[in-house]
Amino acid sequence: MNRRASAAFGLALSVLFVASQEGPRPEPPPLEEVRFPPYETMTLANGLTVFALEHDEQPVVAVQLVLGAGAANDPGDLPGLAMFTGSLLQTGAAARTATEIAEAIDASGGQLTVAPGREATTITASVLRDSTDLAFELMRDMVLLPAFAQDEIERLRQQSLSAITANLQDPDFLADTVFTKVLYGSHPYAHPADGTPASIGRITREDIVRFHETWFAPETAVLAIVGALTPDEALGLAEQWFGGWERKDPPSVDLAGPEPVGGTRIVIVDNPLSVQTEIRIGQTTVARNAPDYFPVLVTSYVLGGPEGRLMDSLRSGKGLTYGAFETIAARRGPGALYATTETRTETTLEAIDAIFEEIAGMQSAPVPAAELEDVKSYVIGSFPLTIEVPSDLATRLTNLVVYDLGPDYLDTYRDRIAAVDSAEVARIARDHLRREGVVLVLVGDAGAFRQGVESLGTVEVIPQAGLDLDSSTLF
Amino acid sequence: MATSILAACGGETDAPPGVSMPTPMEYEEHTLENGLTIITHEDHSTPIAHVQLWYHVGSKNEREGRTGFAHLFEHLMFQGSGNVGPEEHGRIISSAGGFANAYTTDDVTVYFETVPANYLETVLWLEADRMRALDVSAENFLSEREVVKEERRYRYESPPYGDVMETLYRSAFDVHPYRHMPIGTMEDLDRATVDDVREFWETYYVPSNAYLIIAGDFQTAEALDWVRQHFGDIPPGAEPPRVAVREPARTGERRIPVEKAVPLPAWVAGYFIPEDGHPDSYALMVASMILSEGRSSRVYQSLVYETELALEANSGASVREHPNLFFAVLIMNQGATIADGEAAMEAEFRTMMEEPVTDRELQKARNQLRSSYILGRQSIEDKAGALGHAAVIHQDTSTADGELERLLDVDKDDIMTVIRQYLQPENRTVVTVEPGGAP
Repeated sequence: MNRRASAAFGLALSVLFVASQEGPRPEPPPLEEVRFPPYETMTLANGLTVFALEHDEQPVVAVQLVLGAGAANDPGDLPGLAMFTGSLLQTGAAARTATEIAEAIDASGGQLTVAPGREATTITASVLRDSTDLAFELMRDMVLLPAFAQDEIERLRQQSLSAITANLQDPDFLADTVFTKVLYGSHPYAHPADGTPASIGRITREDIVRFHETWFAPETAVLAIVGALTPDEALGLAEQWFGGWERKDPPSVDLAGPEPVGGTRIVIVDNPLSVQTEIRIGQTTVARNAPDYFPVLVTSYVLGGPEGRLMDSLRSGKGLTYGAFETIAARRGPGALYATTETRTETTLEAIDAIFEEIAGMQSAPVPAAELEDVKSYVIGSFPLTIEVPSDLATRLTNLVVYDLGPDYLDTYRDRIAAVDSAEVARIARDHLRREGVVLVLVGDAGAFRQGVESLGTVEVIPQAGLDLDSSTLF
Repeated sequence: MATSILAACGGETDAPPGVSMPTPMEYEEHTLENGLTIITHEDHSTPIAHVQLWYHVGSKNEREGRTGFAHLFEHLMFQGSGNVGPEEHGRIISSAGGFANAYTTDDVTVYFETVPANYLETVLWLEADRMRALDVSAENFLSEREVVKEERRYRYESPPYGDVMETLYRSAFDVHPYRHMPIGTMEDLDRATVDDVREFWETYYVPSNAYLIIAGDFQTAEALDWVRQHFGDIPPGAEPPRVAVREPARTGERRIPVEKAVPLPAWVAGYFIPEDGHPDSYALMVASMILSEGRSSRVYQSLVYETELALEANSGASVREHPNLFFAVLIMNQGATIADGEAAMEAEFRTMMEEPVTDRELQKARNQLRSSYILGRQSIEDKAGALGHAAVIHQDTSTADGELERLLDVDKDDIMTVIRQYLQPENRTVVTVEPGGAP
């Protein structure tokens, strides 16, 4: 081999001498308890919550501002409005046009993203320390002084129409969107976050300005500054740039539990050209800050974590899929708890049966102690992996407010996971994982498996081309 | 009015202020007697450790009729070894709170784990165990092959544009094995046998073809002791064969029109470019940043923002161990035609052939490059990836940082030269995808 030695950067080349035998698996030494790094927090006079955490492994600063409104705040007849409002923030603010905002952040070598979500809109800037002021200035301008120029609205409208056209032929997107809509019914979480072809056509500048005026308020927002700044510097910058943001006293959205699904509801989005079927099976579940969230989380990992029973059965055991998971969508209000997988058309029924079989298994026998311990040590042990880089640390902090988790959450959550026992998992499996009264969504070639699923309940088949996300019946 | 960088600069050719140089990564490099290369980088900021074991084998090493085998083999590495049962590798890492996975490219196969720092020795033991003795049953082999076929359906056959790259590569290359994708074909996956597994493992999974990168919260001397203990007595094996075939120079454009059930028309062009480490590859990387890195880039501004021809418009140099392709990719907006998109993209290339880029653009690209060496290396996984790539593909670990100098040395003339030389129609293969057929 052509190995060029180099003296640069303290490089050392050597050959090690070897004399060893294959031994048993080493026993890991105990790890000292990993604590979340110290941080400071304050609330500005206008109600904005601010976190500051110093982390100087690299000369980098992450600034994350989470606005407490998203698709759940859309008016029922205007899905996509939060996405429009959030996306437009980068397209002109204060003295800068869209191009000038892009030019400023690109020239600094930094990154700036806006992510409109279901109940929050997240703006994140990752910049080198020297560009911290620029990050704050851009973010302040975007949130307080957005232009919402008509030509940018029209441009976004065309892009969104193309994007939704493309997404409506993507099986993954279709399965998630239809599942969410059917599961939540008339609840605000049912709103298609990316809008619909009809709603995208209807959104006006007045709607956007009203949404911004009503919902993007300091009282419901949270700002985290993580990186190579002292807490004093960081908190000073927060006050300097966001202290002048005026209170708005935003209304609240009613997130009370959605209507329960009557009987098992089965919806097939039919595409005869499919080679695979996308499968979603599930129900609503507890809110992110409910005491039962911890046992629900542990139960979901036993059933469908990366080493869970669904993977073991559907992938390793039966070779039916590339991946099978039980997912928990965490929300301020009722979350969603559901199985997700994809399989070749001809094994669709086999995959559905295997999922229900694993759910039944969770309900009929207690989870063995060793299996439960492995899952709990995974959840607890993965903690240090989630606090490595500034933007991850910022997200851990803003989540405290977004999900109303309480100030001691980061210090106590490992104890609360550790406290989940097999009796609690049995209770959750019985009360929260259902085999009847669930929503089952399949995207694939209906002709190949429709008859087989009819034994589970009434089947609604919607041709993919005829899917109408504005209609409560979906076609 | 708030101070604006643009206003303060006053003119469009004024360059933004320069970003300072990143601090180089410190590392040590050692070689065991059996040929295993070890690269360590200590980072004590978080109590975690990351291991990457790079094997210098990828889909380009597959023989005729066995496409997809390197990737299938990667899956089998989780199906049991001397002291580890099927799927147990993942369970051990997972129960520690860690994360394990692997990926296969045309050039390399990389196994990686991130764990709480006290599990580093366990990870090394696990990787050594499957380098020492693979133990896959016929039943698990067959089952895992079905999993890989599902992965092919999920990633390439089911998504609307999933097979476009496969079509491009198959059409662009005649003889070099880059003509097939790492996922392989269904027919070839079905042909694979357990005998193939043994042969592949004996040929390529030997210490002298492996590079072990360890980054994170550990003491180098102790980690090297563990490596010596667990990997030291694995026999060296023979030097694996290397791919000698080279794609002949292209003499004319190839166009592959495709009609299928896609929502929007798409245009994908691949232009032949030289290999990783070739001087021109650096100028091509800088050119692609000016063309399409960020929303202020030329292609975004022109095709997405100004004319609204495209929903997505991108370009990028796919720089590989052997000569590969420079991509230009368009997904057209509703109502826009492929012909308009192609003409607009070509106009951007032509402008860059005829006029030098501005001072401001060049400085912006250099700032983006410098900051990418900082923002792109915040995690120990990022750092290990940079070290592994340098050691395996460049056979020179110092390029992990040293390459930045070569990128920053690229000047306006270099950019004009490479665009003129490589981004010409006769040097490309184009796949056009028009919506058609049933929904």
